[in-house]
Amino acid sequence: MRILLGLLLLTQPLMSFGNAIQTHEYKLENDLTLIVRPDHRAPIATVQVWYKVGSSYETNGNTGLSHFLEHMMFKGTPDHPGTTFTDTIYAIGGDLNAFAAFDYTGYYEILPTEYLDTALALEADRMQNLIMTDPDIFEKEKQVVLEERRMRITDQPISLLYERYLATAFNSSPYRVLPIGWHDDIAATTLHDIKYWYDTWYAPNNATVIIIGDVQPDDVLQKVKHYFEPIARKSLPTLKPQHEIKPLGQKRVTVRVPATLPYLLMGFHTPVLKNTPVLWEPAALTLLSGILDGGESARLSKNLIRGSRIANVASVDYDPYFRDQNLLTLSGVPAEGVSMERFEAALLAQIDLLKTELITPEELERARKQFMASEIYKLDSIDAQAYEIGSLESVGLSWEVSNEFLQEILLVTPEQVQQVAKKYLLPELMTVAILEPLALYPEQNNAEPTAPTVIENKALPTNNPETHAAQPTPLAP
Amino acid sequence: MIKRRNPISRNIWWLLAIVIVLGVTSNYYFMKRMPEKTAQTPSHETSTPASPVGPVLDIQTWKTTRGLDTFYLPIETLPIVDIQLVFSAGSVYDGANPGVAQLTNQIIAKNTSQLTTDAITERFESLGAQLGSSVTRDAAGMSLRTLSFDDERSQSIALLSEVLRDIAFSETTFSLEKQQLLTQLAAKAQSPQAQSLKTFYTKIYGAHPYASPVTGTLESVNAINLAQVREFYYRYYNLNNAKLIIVGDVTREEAQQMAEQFDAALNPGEIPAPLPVVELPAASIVEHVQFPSTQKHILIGLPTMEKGNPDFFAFYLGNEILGGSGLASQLFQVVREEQGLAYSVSSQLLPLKEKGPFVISLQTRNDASVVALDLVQEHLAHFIEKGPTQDELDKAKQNISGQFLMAFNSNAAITQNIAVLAFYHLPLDYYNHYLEKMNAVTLFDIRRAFNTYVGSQHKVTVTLGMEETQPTPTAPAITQEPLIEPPVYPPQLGNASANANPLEVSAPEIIPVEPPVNPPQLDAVTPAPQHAQ
Repeated sequence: MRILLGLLLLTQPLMSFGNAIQTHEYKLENDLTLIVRPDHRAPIATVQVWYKVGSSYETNGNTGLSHFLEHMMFKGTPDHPGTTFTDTIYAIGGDLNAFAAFDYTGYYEILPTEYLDTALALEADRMQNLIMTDPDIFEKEKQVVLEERRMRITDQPISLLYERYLATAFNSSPYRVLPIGWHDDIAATTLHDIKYWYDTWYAPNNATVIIIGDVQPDDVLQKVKHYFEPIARKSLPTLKPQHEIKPLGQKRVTVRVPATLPYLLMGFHTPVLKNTPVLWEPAALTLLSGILDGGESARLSKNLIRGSRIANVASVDYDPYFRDQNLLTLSGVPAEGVSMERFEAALLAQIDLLKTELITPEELERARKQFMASEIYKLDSIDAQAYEIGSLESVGLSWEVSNEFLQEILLVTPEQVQQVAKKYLLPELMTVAILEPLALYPEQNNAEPTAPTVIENKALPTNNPETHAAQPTPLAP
Repeated sequence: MIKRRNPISRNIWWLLAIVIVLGVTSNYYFMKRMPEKTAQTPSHETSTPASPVGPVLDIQTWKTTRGLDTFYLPIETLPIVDIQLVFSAGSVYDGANPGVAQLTNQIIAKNTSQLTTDAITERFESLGAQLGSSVTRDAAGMSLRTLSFDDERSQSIALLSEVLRDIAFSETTFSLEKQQLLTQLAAKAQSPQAQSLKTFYTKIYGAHPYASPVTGTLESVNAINLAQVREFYYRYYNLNNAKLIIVGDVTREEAQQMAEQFDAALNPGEIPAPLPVVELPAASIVEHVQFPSTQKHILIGLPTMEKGNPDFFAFYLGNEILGGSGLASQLFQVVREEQGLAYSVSSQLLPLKEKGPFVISLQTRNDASVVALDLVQEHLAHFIEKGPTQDELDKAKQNISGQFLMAFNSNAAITQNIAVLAFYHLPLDYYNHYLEKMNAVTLFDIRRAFNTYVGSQHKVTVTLGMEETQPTPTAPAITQEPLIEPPVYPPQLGNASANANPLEVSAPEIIPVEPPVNPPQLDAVTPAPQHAQ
């Protein structure tokens, strides 16, 4: 181990992707962060503006504000009224869109490099001058957001399950609500709410501008200064911590909706890179996920899908790039004829195995190799690179943390994988969510026809007092 | 046990390689600038005139010793090699066994006479290689993404050719893959998007094999046996029916060696007979599918044109303006911005080997569906009659010249586009003249194309959702296929993976303001390699 460490120190400069691919970071006078990474493979560039605000900044009764605001950001400014923004980007051969997530909201244009100025001017403009006065435009957009919620959540059984799963797994943490928010909260949102959200969080000192593409850093810096430095910084509110309370027992929730496939989600509260004194734990959890689900040769495929044929689908999801403690989630579909109980037990047995037996060096090496290869493959996509930088910066870590994380990945031992399994993957504290399909066409079972608006109401309370998602959510209009 | 080198030093070597390739290179890695066209493009109102420059892909082609068609493009900037092997082996060849093309594709690279699935997957994944596979209506194939370092590259190529050369048909694997496919079908049965699209294809294609879902149906898949899969494999996965695409950090010599390895792995065989001609709908069709969703899904369209049709450019530009350009399209403006009636509304055009579909799709709450449907039909009629304005056309052309650059901004995207070119027998310089042809399109061309392919034809309208007055619901529809065709590059940021594998936890965590739309024309033959992490 000591030899390996020595080797790492010697090659420290090489370890830095920043050095390797020339990432430049700047701070403007108004505290706007600018990150530029030249990539001269094609005469295009992506311009991304990330704001440190997302659904985890919202409070009960005001969920979905960040996402709703994201929609309103396309409604124009005095200088670029109506759909001018979209039309302008379109007419210069660019593409644009935006996204809202738990911890951030982002906007991007990807366009021929020669038009970089156009995108910067537009983004700087809507950072400060968004028009939010027309109630008609606001009400129409509210209908659009509600349609989006129907399409993404209400009419998708697995999404509905996921929504109730989060609401059960988290009590005090705002991660309990999906970024789109609850139906009632969206419906009750006022123009004033959105304006307040914009005025509070959209400021240069709360934003990261990321530019990757066929550009020269000095040139980009001058341009960004020109457009963004005149924007005044704001005094930002101090975010309340809202950490998740310590789980004191197992929690379970059942979702019964018209569907054709049973589905299971099983979650364990786990640390992320932010707020952890020990970087190796997220690294060990990342490799643990790879051991279980890093491909077709990983344990869940090998043992549960092919070996015992208990599962038709089995996967693991763990993302260390959150602002606060999150979940490592196992999920899947039992094989035909296998009960949910047996499927759940088989997943737990795989977790147990991680605690009782050390993983083999070959498995660890394979997981590590896949991680390293995917880091290289990531360089083929400027979107993927920008996304990594933006998400790290937006959760309050430096983009350079990805390099440190890489080093941690190289050093993780089988013992450490065992340690995090023992410490965090505790069945007595987990959350389990199960989708129990109801017939899509109940008439065929001589039951009452399902009315369209009943769908969200079908998640019946279970008898388990731990269940938090038992309250039926509002009906869709 | 294979002797392993110190993993740490290996990993550092990769990083060193990145220093070299990204830190030093400064030329565009795949394109030369074309001479500027001056008179062709109508200048736009902005001060900068349109400059239709596009990639000149220096694609090299050859036939291997026994005649495998190979397409090669060197790109040295990243230590990556992408391989695609594409066969005319899509679901259109399913015959009496819908789903057999899909099932055959799934069992490839699972067993050889020597190796189990465990052993094969362990070997690929120990190399950091990513193996993918896919089936569309026309094509089926495999993709491999590997690091280009000697060991990783040579071992993963050797393994892929080995699993093809020595393919074994195991009953165990077959029953497992059948179960996987049935699960996928069950997952699609609960998706309103999937169900509406399935009905749409059935109705627009009638008796043509394009009508059948790529993944088959529960019934048809259940009836397939291993002998049928074996027969399908040997009939369609042959040397003469294949195109090999090699893109990335390999020399011509190395690429030739690789091609010879695949040559040796495949048997010679027949090219399938031409597909039957698509008959257009003889009358307008309106079909409702009862489904317990809060939204009504609406699809309007018909079969239109085949790949390589000279009217494509006019039809494509018209479609961009009508509904193909996301936030900027007319339908987006009329249905979403002005009326707030839908989150997602768009139109798509998908030429296939034979006449592929044109489709307008939207979703709206059940009680608004009549209004929304009227609005869209009215707008479509208006568009067919009047066409776009000159200003709209100029902007669309300008947009396409930018989108075109983005469609070639990564190795993955370039590989995909070469695969399309190879599979559909488009001229080698197809992309070099792409913008030229787009820029030559006139308003008249668009009106004529829309009138010919849409206006003067019978259309199919499918609605899916809750209809209170409907006494007897349609029998549960249980099959489906991917959204029209797998979306290509550039990959849309913030795509909440809703269109990806419906069986993954599609956590709707990241929400784009607008659902991703397909980039210009360049649709997939097979999707890019699936990324492991």
